Amino acid sequence: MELIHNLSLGFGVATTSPNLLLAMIGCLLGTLSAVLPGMGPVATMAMLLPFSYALPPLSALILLIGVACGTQYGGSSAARWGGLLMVTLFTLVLVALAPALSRLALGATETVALMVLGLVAGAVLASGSLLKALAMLLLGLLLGLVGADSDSGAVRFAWDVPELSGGLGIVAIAMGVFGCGEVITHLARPADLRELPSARGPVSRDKPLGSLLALGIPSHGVMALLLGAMALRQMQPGAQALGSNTGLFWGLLASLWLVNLMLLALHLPLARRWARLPRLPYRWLFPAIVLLCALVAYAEHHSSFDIWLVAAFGCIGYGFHQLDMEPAPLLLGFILGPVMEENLRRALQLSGGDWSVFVARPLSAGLLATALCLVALLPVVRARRA
Amino acid sequence: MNLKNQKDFFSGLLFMGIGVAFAWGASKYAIGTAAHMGPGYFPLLLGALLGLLGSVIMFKALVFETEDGGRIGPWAWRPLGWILLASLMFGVLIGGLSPLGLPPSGLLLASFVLSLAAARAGTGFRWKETLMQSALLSLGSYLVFVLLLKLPIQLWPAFLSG
Repeated sequence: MELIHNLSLGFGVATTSPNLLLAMIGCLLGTLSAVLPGMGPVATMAMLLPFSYALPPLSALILLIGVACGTQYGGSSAARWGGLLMVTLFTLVLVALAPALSRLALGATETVALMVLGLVAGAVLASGSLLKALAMLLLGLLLGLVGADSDSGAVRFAWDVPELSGGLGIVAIAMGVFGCGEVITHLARPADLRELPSARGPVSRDKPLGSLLALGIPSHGVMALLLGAMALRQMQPGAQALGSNTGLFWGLLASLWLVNLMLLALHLPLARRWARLPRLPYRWLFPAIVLLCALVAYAEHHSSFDIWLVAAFGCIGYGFHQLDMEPAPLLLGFILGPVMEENLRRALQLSGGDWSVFVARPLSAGLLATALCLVALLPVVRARRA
Repeated sequence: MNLKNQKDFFSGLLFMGIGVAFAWGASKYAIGTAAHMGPGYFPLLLGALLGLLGSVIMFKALVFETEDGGRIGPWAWRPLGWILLASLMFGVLIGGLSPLGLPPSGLLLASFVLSLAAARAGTGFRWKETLMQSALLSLGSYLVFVLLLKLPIQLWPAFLSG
């Protein structure tokens, strides 16, 4: 009966009136960002991130999940039903597995292996060349290391800029690359192509969201940002969440289900209205997007430096687009960088500097083998998607 | 030299350069050993890996034939320049520029100027429409950020508010 207890706990947390309202707002914003041209889900979520600090952790995540789910499917009702079904199925599977999962002991070694698997999965799911996606991951990991080292306190790669000693902000990077960078990219297109909402890969994001909660593996820019939001609020997504923070975990799962239900209600009767919205000309939209990016970045610390960062990453993001470099893995690496270094350090300290510990322990060996399989299976995945 | 894939060649070059730069920078910090990783250990490892990956990408771009030669599209300097300029001016106006002794000019003016400059990035720029739009955005940013979210941001230039 633990199952019913958990589920009722989750729905109890998710259906308080502020949380329901936030889920609704998230769904509306997500849908808007999906139908309006030039405003991607990652930029929308990055904009909400600083404001979500004012909310309790669970409410903040419910808002962001609403946006994340609202941006997918493009409003087709068949896909919506599918999404609801997927979440239900996934919840049932997770409910069945939860006792076993919460008993799994994840040491530093396994955490590193899990992160490698998550990063590789992120690179495999990205579009374009796998090598370039892996390189973007490494670049993201490196950018995540800018600032003070958590162990020794040494400030790295800050070039004596005091603002950099605290590290680069995820909001500035996400706003720059996915906000301003996307605006520049969009404006570079011929005018007649510009009014279409930017086409996005048909990657289902419900399953990755589930796996994010259970194992800490995101596989998309949106997932990376959700993970970042959790990290900023000092929440560890992963198997431990099942044991230590049951209210949060089941609350999130319940709200994922509710959000999908809301979206169904929102899109079925209004599908035609939503489709009419994109006729808003882009030339009215993009100055507002640029303004929002700059203002939100400024509002976080009241420092103009964050605006320079957004501008710089906007240009960098346009460069990425020109050279066909997929930015989602970069964001993923950026968020996981410091955590990965910490766990790698601990794992190698415990093993006395012996790298073979990663293949000697069965769970981490299994995870790393799965990552290798993913890389090996990539051509098959690509072929099926095409 | 004959590039088989221009985009991949230059992205590989970029990755290699950044990787080498990070590895070189990391070598200035204490490296330590695997059992006792110093602040330089992980970035050195990652930088070296990135440099290696970059060179593989470059090598592939030199050797393997691609259909369209992976040519880089034309650069849209106009949107790039105006968006960059708009953001930079916004930063200067809202935060002031202390080395030049420039005081903050307030949210309303900063938003107005940003919107005006950003609008130049698009094609078919119209003065009347843009001025109206900028005024609206400036008002909107006041309503949302100051009135609704209650952020303590200065509204007017220093010489007006005293």
